[in-house]
Amino acid sequence: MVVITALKIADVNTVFGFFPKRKIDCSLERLISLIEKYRISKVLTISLKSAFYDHVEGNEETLRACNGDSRLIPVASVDPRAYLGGLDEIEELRKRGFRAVRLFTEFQSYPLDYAPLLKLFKNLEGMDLPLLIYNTGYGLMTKIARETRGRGYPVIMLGCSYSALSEFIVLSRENPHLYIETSLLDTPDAFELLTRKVGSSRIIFGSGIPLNYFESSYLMVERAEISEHDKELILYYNLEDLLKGFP
Amino acid sequence: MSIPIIDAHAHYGKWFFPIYASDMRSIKDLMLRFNMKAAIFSSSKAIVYNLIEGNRELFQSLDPSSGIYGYVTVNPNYLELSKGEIKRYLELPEFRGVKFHTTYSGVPIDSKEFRELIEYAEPYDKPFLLHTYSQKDVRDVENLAKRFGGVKFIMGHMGGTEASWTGKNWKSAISAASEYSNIYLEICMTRLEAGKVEEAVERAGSQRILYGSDMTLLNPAHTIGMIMSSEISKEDKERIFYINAKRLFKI
Repeated sequence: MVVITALKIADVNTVFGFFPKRKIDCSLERLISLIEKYRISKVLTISLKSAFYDHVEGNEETLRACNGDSRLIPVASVDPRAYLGGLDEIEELRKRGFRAVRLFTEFQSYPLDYAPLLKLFKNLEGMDLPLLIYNTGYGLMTKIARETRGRGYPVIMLGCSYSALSEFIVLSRENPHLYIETSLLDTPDAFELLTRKVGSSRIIFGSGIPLNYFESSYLMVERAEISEHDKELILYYNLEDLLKGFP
Repeated sequence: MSIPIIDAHAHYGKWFFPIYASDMRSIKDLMLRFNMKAAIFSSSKAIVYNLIEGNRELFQSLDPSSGIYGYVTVNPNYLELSKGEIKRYLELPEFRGVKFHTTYSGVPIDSKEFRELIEYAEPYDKPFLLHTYSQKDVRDVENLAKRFGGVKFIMGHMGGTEASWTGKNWKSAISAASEYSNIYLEICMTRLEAGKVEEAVERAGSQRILYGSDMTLLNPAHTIGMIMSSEISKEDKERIFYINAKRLFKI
């Protein structure tokens, strides 16, 4: 009864580690078993230690996990609550092989108008690292677009549901650096609408495994009434382009 | 999709979001695309605005020969109007249940007014679909299930999710369903927390779990994928997708 994923998949939204808020297997082994079950070619991934404990230790764990497995692409995190604004720290992330930076706004409570965060937005300039941020409610995306505009790196908004659609569509016209991830794009015609209004090149596939069910995200793309070419872009090639190629 | 589906939680009408697949033609297309043999709809207009207009428009669109059935929506702020709607529609074969949304009406599920409506509708012997999105909502349904042992209550969204990511709402709903045999769990929700379908089947059994899409707000694929991904048996999936609803709604 497993959906056979015939199309090539790159997943921008995966995690591994330990989830303290409820009992669920988020181990690296579990993530890899899902990658194999659904024939996912590439995943951007990050240790949950970065979200819940210490981003420096978490980043080390992420690098170790991705080392030697070309399917796993390391994502770094910086926790603004612990960030002292150093540019060298961000440069180091890039040098060590991280391909993106993720903020865990869904688990870490800080406002957007917050000096360490604003400094991080600035320090990411010129690093060529896409920024992944979880959308937590009305207006967050608007502020992020404003603070990251013109800085030269793409921003991928994760966890966008029906309530984020109009905000993204309006913002996307004036913010070519803004992208939307698919895991919670759950209206009946979200993909048709976004493809028509902003183009499929701005939509990046993500599932949220192993915290989420994979087939929910995949089926919404696979069953959308958009062209096969658009599906291929969303499921794989847009992310490959953003990262300027996969390892 | 090879498995036939009955959708226990569907809506007819618009939402205040950019969703254009909300007319009956789009709905029929979605039903065909996902092999839905039947779906039970409530009117979004009746839920968020005017129950009389919404129920009337829904009634005009129902078509049991195409598997399109309805819930009559009540609003306990308008007790007499709600009773009138129950009387007007609930005995018709097109209508298979009663829908109540606590958030939009602002009336708690376990309220004097809603209890009065349950008593009024009880003789029709049709289930109630209740929007549940907090532990209080779950407790309220438990109270009603205890008080009205002969009435079947469906917890829409299975208690829902919460900002804390702990799953405590849906875990409470599962506990309630495992205690009261007249509580059913309908499992659609935006957040996809893995493990909840497995836990519901393990603790409450698959006989009272229902597939719901929440279309036209949500994409049917969202919850279909959740069930397909879940690590439960094929028989459990068939019950959730089809068999349980067929029995409950007498389709």
